[in-house]
Amino acid sequence: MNLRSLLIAVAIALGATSAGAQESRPATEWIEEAQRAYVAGDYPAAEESLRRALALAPEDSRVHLMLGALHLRVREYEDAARSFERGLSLDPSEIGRCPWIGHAYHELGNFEKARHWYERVLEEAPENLEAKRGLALTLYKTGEAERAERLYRELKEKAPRGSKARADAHRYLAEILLDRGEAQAAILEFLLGRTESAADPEIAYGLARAYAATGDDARAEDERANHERLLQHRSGLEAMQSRLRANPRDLEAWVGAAAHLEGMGDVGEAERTLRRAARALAASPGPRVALIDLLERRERLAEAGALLEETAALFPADADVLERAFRFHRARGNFDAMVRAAEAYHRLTGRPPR
Amino acid sequence: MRRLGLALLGLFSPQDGGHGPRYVDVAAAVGPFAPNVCGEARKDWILEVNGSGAAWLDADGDGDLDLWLANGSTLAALRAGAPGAGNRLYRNDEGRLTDVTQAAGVAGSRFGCGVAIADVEGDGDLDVLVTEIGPNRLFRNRGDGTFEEVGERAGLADDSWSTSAVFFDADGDGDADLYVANYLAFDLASPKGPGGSCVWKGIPVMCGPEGLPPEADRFYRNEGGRFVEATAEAGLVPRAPGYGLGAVAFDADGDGALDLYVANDSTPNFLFVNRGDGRFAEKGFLSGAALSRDGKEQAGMGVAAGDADGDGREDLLVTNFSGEPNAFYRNLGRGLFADDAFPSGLGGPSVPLLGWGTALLDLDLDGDLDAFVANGHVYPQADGAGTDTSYAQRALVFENVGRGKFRDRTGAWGDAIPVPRVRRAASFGDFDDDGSLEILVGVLGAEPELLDAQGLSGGSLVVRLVGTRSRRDGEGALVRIETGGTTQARRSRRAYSFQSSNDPRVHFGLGAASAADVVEVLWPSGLLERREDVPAGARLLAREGSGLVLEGEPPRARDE
Repeated sequence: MNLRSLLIAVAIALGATSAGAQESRPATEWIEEAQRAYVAGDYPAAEESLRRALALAPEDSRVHLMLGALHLRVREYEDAARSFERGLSLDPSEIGRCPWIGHAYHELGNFEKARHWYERVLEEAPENLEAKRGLALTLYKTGEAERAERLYRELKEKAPRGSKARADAHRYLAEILLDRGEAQAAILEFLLGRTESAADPEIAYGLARAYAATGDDARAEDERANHERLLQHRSGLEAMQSRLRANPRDLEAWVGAAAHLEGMGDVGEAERTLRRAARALAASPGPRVALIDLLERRERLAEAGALLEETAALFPADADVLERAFRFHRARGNFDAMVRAAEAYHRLTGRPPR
Repeated sequence: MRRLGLALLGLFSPQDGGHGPRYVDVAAAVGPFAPNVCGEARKDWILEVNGSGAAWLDADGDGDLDLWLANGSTLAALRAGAPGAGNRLYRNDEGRLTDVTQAAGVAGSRFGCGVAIADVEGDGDLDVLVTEIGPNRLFRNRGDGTFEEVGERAGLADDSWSTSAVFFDADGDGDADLYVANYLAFDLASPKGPGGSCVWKGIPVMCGPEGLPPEADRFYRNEGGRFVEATAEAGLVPRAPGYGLGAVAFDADGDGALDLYVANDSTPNFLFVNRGDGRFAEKGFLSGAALSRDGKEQAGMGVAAGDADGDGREDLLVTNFSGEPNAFYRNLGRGLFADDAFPSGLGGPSVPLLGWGTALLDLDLDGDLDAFVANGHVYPQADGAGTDTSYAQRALVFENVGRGKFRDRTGAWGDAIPVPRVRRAASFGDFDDDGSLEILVGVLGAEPELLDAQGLSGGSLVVRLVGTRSRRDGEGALVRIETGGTTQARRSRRAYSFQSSNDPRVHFGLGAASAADVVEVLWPSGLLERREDVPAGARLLAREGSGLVLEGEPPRARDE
């Protein structure tokens, strides 16, 4: 579920055109405040702002829909469903853009209502991929494997590469095939799913079972180990994200989150995380050093070297940066640069670098 | 066998079978019962939340089911080394349950958790294992309805926090070996208090199980009534220990040997597959029975086994935490499972609830296995805003509507089921011998419920088993009946649900059929015995090697 930008998306999608919106200036300010808090991961503050907006504009559909999105983000599904329903009753024209209400009911295990809302969304917006994804999963979970399979085959064709909908399509098609005893076909779909979502422990789990079903115990065991590793990284990542929500300046959490992402094979997101950290903690060389390490591990040495020079220039009196430069250049055989870094380190600390 | 007080509804005449039971709580009329003790109401510590188990057993050998209730204690009493609330034994006196604890000599307990029953010496009477927070106790039945505690002498007084236990014949030698699920190491002297990192949905709550060290389960081989720890030798050592709560012995791969399934809290469940010689291999992950369909570990609590979809293979129902569906592991054959929680209909209604004791039994006597789940949260804080759940919860009951699809009948099968309570263990047995199954449900910090199934119209058939080469108490035998072209298969099994032991007699619902065309017993020894044309309402005694006779009828010539 793409919840990271959910609230923002809802807000942007609704904008000022919402039919049910009241043009209350103070309420709008609270809504903007809520958006800012949401983006910063400060969900209690976002909720408080939305409550204030609600007090000023109790009939504003935007506030209810954003509250729904917020509750969904923090896994308060009953409240999410209630807020979405209220928002959509105030402004039914938004139904086609709100598959999230289906997600809230889905998470509550109320598949009947989830299905109802997904189908309502698709009546208004037949190509809404998120609603299609939700409906397919609901059908799959309620045992309507044939209809789910048709939807997943459609999503497999239509959903963009790298999207959750496409990854889901491969994965659940594989599960359906595995249930039917078609283990080899299931393996193929799981592997296609892995090309869409490399860090997905559920795919490793599916592959392990599919290989076990074909009697390929060696590959099954490999996938078991893979699943365990991915799960550890995922729970580690969640712990780091939780720390960052509490303290966005927690360097260790930034670096830890990037390490877990890299461990899950999502190097791009790991790199983006460290670049975000470098912006958030501009006064600290820590995120840059971690990024240099990552680039070096990926053998992007020119980029690593350039970033190292830049970092050394930004933090000329930082012993860790100088020591990192010394080790980098020594490993590459850059004698002159290595000596420069060692001398600088010595001047600063009075001892040679390790 | 007597037909007792509550069986006044003419249940033995076959009718249309189309009506479900109406569950009525008859505890007040049948009891009174001692209230459960499990710490303080605030639930600051994890040892205060699981409650204690129950067992239906014929303790005095008079042919009807008596009731054993384990009971807990408090942290303060445990620290002081003081006795806990103590076990209670209730004798079945024509449909009333009379407290005979003192006379039977069974009160002793520090903090009782689970109850497991077996004839451990093969001497014809039933012995009782009570798992504890502290040394487990084995009450040996003297044969006259009184007991002596011999846990230490029998080699079972392990000091871990033990929960569910399963007596089963692991090595096929005809006696009851024992698997004991252990939970976690709780530091009595300085336990980690609520709050800090122990937060649930943003609310400070008691700590655990995550963050506390799990305790490894134990397996004991029965050597003439004494037990020898053989966990490693039997291969019952998983990659990593789990927080064991529920356990059941069943045949996962259809090879005739009993395998073992362990429901673990917050850690992957175990499936120990019996290699046929009493040695096991852990196959949970690769079998698909360790995790949810999504590959997530869940908070397994109770577990039940049975052929829910009528394909001849035993499936599993595992109860889980709130926010997680109960898992229904459909047996695909060859030792593979698929979690059909949602397609089966068992998962959806369970999501907001926290499940414990459970069963797959023919509750409406229509010929397939229905499901019961006792629910109640561990956190009193669940009653706060924004939790999507509550502390006291309704129970769940499901009707099997064919081929392993279930319909939620919680609101339809009697007023007692939807009443919110903080339920825990559940023990199932035909205590009034009316052919239907009563449910004893433990309630945290309160008297238990006794849910009597009333208003049933379907016929039943009950088979009691006595082994000679196989276990004396008959457990593990598979009973099959054919009725009008349909087959039902049920295994005699005491240990399932949560921390509880159940009626081992095999109950079949016949629906509208007037008779079973064939009844077959496949004993663990490999002996197959059968009898044809058994009328609805019959009670059969299957004595291994002596054929199947109606209760009270003289033994027949062997009819293999």
